[in-house]
Amino acid sequence: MKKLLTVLLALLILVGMTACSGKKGGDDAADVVIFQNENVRKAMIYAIDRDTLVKSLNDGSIAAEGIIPWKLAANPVSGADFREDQGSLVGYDVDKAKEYFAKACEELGKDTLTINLLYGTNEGDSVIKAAEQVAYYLEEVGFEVNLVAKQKKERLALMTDGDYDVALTRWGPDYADPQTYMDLFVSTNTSNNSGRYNSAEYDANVAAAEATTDMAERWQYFLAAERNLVADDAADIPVFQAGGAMIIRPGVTGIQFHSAAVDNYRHVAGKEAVTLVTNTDIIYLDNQVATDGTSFIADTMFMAGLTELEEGGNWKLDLAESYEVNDDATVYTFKIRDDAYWVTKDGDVYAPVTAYDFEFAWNRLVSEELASEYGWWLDTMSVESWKAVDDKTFEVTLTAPSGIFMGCLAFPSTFPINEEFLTAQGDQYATSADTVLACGPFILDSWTPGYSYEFKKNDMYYFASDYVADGGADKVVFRVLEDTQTALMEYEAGNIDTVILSGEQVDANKNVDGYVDRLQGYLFYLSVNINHYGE
Amino acid sequence: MRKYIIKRVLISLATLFVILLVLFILMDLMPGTPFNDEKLTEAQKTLLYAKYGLDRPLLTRFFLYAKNMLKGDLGVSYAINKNFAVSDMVKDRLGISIAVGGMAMLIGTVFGLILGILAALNHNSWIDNLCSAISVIGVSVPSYVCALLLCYFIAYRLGWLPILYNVEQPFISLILPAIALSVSPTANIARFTRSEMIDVLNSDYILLVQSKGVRNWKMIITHVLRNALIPVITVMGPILVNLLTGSSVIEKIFGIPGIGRLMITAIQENDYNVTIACAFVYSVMYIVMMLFVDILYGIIDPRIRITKEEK
Amino acid sequence: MSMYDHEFQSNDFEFAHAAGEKLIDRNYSATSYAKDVWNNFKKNKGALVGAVIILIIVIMALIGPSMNEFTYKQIHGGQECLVPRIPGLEKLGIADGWHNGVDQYAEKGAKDVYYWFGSDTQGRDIWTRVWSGTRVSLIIALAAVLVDIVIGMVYGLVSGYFGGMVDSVMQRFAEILNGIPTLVIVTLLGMVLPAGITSIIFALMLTGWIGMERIARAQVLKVKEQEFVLASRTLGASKFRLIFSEILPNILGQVIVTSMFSIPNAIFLEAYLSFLGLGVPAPMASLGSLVSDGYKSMTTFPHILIIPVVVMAVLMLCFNLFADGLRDAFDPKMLNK
Repeated sequence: MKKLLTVLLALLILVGMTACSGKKGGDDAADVVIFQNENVRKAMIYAIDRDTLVKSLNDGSIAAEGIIPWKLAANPVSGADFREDQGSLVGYDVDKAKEYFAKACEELGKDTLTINLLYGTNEGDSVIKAAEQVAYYLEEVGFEVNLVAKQKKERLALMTDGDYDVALTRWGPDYADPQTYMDLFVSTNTSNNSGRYNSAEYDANVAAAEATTDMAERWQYFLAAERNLVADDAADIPVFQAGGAMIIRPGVTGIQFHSAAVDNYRHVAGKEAVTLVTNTDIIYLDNQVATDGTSFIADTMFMAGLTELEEGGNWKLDLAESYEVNDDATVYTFKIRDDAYWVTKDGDVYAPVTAYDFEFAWNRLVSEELASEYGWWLDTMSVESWKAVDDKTFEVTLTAPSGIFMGCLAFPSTFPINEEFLTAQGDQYATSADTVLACGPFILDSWTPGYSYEFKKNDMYYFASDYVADGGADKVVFRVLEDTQTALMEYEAGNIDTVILSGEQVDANKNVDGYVDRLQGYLFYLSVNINHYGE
Repeated sequence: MRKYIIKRVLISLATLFVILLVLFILMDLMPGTPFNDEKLTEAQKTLLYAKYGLDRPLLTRFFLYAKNMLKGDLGVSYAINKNFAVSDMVKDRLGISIAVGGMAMLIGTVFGLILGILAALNHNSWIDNLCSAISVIGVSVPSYVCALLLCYFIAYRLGWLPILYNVEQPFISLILPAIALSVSPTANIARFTRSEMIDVLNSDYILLVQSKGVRNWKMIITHVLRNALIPVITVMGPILVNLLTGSSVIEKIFGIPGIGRLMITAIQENDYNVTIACAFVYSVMYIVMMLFVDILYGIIDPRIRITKEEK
Repeated sequence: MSMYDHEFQSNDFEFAHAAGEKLIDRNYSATSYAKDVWNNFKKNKGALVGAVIILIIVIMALIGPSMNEFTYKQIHGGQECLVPRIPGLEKLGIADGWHNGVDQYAEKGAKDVYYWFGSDTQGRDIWTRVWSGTRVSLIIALAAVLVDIVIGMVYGLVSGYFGGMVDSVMQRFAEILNGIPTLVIVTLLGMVLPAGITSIIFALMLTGWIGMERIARAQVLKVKEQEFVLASRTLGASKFRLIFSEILPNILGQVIVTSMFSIPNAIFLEAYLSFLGLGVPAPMASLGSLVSDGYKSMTTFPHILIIPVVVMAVLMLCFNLFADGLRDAFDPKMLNK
């Protein structure tokens, strides 16, 4: 009997412990009002030593200086980078941070200020490291920080519901313009402005920038808006801009990285068959439903749009042979190439690419049934209407002149789709290499989900012959590899031609021939839930 | 015996049905939705919910899913490979995982039994200690560390085997992952075999057998092993299920498109149908294995067979 | 030949045993079971060594983190990935802070700093992190063993002993719980419970005991038909007494060995949970999370991985030696062998 009693007692203790800890967790929740205090946010902005933080990430990331990343957009007049014009809006200053912290404590009448810092655990090692570092720096100033680790989907759900204090989150630019960031924090944007930042001044600046046709003026409005957001209100706290370290085999050329657009692998050259590494698989081949970089890169390989982005981010015509624009720059008329074809997997011509394919695709993109995440893309480009005038003439009317319009046409969501083929495939469209048509420089030859996808040269594509002369690859294989250490061994063994490096591997490989240190467009920042509206 | 088997099979089917229902309810409780993305608006999410029928009540969805499952339709993926038939995704990857897991189990069983038997026969000698040390290190060093060590020395330095999985030479390139994966089952089986063997060796009937002058090896095979292996089989069942349903870390390290990785991604992405399918594959294997072990038990161990038949 | 024909020899009246060996009745003092166990345990050198090392590790887990000036979460910008450097030993050329022919400490401007076990990728002291991680892992492991024994063993005993309908229902329940992958259950728990050690223990509680339950049940099935149980039953022993005083001691050896195996399992499950963000909340460390962190630098800075792996392996080895000794000591059949 004694034994049974002991057993029962042990059980009771365990259950009791668990119950107590559950309660304790609830009490720890930070007082939400504190984030409305400007000094709390300012203390946070000055507390973080961003230079040391990126040094420990060690993957080519750089310290953020504002909410707009480097290399996103250039001054329309001088050509200077947005960051050069703005200068740094954040700085590391412990004394100042402590001062703000003391002021905040006084104003709020509290001794301790607790922050629950939400971050994602499956968003890359750099996010986990950054969250730990940010927590450390905030604690150094006097905050109490609880790290709340969640998976990405859950983190996003919590943010959408406003059920968080401070979250380490990121935004990847969709196009090369400050607007892609500035739109996030206007008070009317309920989808992205999770912290419910609400500043009349900021809203006015962004609205003015979007209304004006004077590009220089627009630039100034955006500069002012960023100052409102970061310097004046410290509403969102920039942390770092993501980098990417990799090794590209010497001799393999033509890979173009874009920090504010889809990387361009269409001109890979130097070897007959090139094997590239990707750390994620294609999610969806359908260019209008895809949302991730990997799928978009695949789309640009076997499909094409009216324009294409070149090295440096400038556009050039692709499937459009020529275009005309009216005097007030609101009506664009594109002439589609006569030698643009839809090609099946076997390399046979299915049909010519026509203006109707574009008209159909754009209609589909904005249709409700598709529920594309990029359904708003045409709005961003200021597109009002579009129509196919004849087989080869596509006309687009804009609401107002747009500096980003031509560049945005290189984005996969705007690529054409062959209606007949799509209807014939039904639900199966874009679920395998057999159920898509190619109209780009390559043909999707095979796709083994989770393993690899392979492209072969499309002989029907208009630049195919020039391409061969330039030493372009006949075959481009993307191998899905998630572990960077075995991938590096595989690279050194000569079986793959590129390898992505983790921060841990950079020091040892910095001096290897072919090491590339690129800057990505992703800007990581702390979203502060200012006007807490969640539970 | 036949009646018992039929009854056991029916019970197993009922268990599976309950598991499926529990899985469905758990999925419903999962935080977040498959359509949480930075760039998706609320209105679009509602539309997507309607499109995939996720706005219907739980039980309606469950019975529809169960009905479709009987037809071999496991729904479509929402987030990993959008609109892919889940049955195809699972089918392709399960084969590879079974191949790796099967090889690992084979290696694990052979080496585990050898180590365990050697240790038991030389109880309290240096061989015993060595075998124990090997099996302890086997369970205390994580499989991903072993995997990377194997990769580095055998594949990268010596070049004896390919570093990563390669569809063109599946057998050769799966040897390393299988060895890495077999470390922990080897250790577990060795430990278990050893302790069972020692028990049996110390029992009275072995004393009888010994005193009858039966030759050593014959005694070990016909008398000791047979009795010692019965409990070993019970632990081997779950180990085998775990191996066959894939190890996400090993798959990640060797670039294998297996089902373990798929399930982790599905859970992280809230891809309900894929998660349920992967989890259910695991459940089916587990229940079948339990059934198999129970029946095998009856065949090997006459005592159990007799008691079962009496009932 | 009749018996009378036998001629007695002189040696017929000597003991048949070897010369010099005398058979004297020995009187054994009545020793308690516990004392018996302790006496047997003491004889096993390996088990003693294991116990001593476990004790040392436990002490280190308690005092280790406060032995130098660092804390487990203190980040030293610019002093990342330093290799071990120990005062005294450095003069001998071991642990002197040199890596690939470079004095890392001089290079990173940390001439007067000593990281005894080196620093990790964020410039945190590994010594402090390893010992505070050991503390966390030990707590989790002990809880796991407790849960295994309390829930798993009792469940297995009851299920195995009663058999029939009770067994059937209990086994189906365990099967359903076990038929769902741990990860699915644990992810959900991660949402419901706040992050922390108690949540992990709770997760272990829900899923960890089933392995033990199966083994306990299998052992009961083996033992319950044996004669001594029958004897006790015919003497009118209650079911409770049969289960806990007749059957339990006979399966305890196996149970203890198995429960020792749930220690690494618990530590690994925790590491796996950390990997998914459901483990000990960062920046707190555990042996498991240190190993999975260190894995990332295995080919570049192996010391970050090797140190926690070695601590873990030594801990496991000692737990096993200890368990083995315990098993032999507990098993009445092993007495005096």
